[in-house]
Amino acid sequence: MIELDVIGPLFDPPAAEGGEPVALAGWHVNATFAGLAERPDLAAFVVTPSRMRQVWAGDDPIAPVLTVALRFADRTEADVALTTPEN
Amino acid sequence: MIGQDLLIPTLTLMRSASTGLSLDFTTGSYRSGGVDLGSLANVPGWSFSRTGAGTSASAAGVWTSFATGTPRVTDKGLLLEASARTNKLAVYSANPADLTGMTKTGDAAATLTRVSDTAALAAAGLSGLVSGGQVWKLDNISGSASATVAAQGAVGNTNPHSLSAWVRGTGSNVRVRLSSVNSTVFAPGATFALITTPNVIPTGAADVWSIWCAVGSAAWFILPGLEEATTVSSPIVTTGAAATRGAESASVVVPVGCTRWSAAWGAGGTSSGSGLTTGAAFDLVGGRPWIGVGNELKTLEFLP
Repeated sequence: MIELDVIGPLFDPPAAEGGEPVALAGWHVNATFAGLAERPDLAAFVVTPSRMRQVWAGDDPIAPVLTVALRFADRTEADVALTTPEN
Repeated sequence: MIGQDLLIPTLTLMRSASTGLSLDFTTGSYRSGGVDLGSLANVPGWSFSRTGAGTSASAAGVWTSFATGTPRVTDKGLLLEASARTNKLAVYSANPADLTGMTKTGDAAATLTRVSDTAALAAAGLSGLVSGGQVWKLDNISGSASATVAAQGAVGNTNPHSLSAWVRGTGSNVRVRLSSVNSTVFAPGATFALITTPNVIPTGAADVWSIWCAVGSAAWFILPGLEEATTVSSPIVTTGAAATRGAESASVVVPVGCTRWSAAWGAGGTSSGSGLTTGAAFDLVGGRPWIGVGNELKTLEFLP
């Protein structure tokens, strides 16, 4: 089993004060480099944002050493990709 | 006669010492069959995991950060938290370099600054987390209307959220609140105290953590937290992005010959059980009463 942090939708701050947060495209999940080594098939979903919106605590959002950001088209795609045969 | 007198107590000691496992997290004493194992990592069958850094306080209230994968052991015991938690604030919650991510609104005469507060942080046991010694200060002493500082990092949904921060100040009217949901006013003291506003239902996804000062009040604040949960957990330090402390798992293999266990936790709590199976994994997290801040596991013993 690999460690996952299922974020779901991610948002940027509102464009104007009092506005709604701006939703980013896709369904977002954080994994770890150790987890990716166990599930190399997930490499197809790895993205490298210039600044991560969410990281594992203690990690650097600009140069993460623990957090691997995965982006799926939607929740359904994530569920399929993250379900292992054992599950 | 002399031989018998010596033999009986010797045998008793040997039997007692040859079985059992004693874990005293408060003193760092881990013994198996009477033998000092030296460290938790040397305990046979010990397993622990947590992805992401965590924090814990000593009995004296001194907070420390623990790196990913490191058990949070202090002289209060082993702190375990069963659920992953995310601090959604996209600010530098412990070591702000400037005012980035914090926005002041309200009375124009109110000021938001970053100030050195080393002595007060040390007195509150926060120096280990707030290593830079800098905090935010919202000063509305001279204002004529209320003032608010909002932190970047919206709730994103309308599930229950819990807010927190360490605050000290002057005056009698300060709130740690969601931007659209009022909360109870408190009078900040001269020393930092953990202020919590738990289980708040946001009115919209754009709601943000904020601190509010009425006219005549000022607040020094640090380590703001915004968690999607009905309660506040231990502090999660953020560094410009939301940060997740993963769920902890911990277990130990039941030693040969042991069928019973007993534990001491929190402020005088005790638990015990029997029917253990040699070689089985004893889960320290699932369903245990020693989960969360204030419930630290002090000792755990496995007995014949």
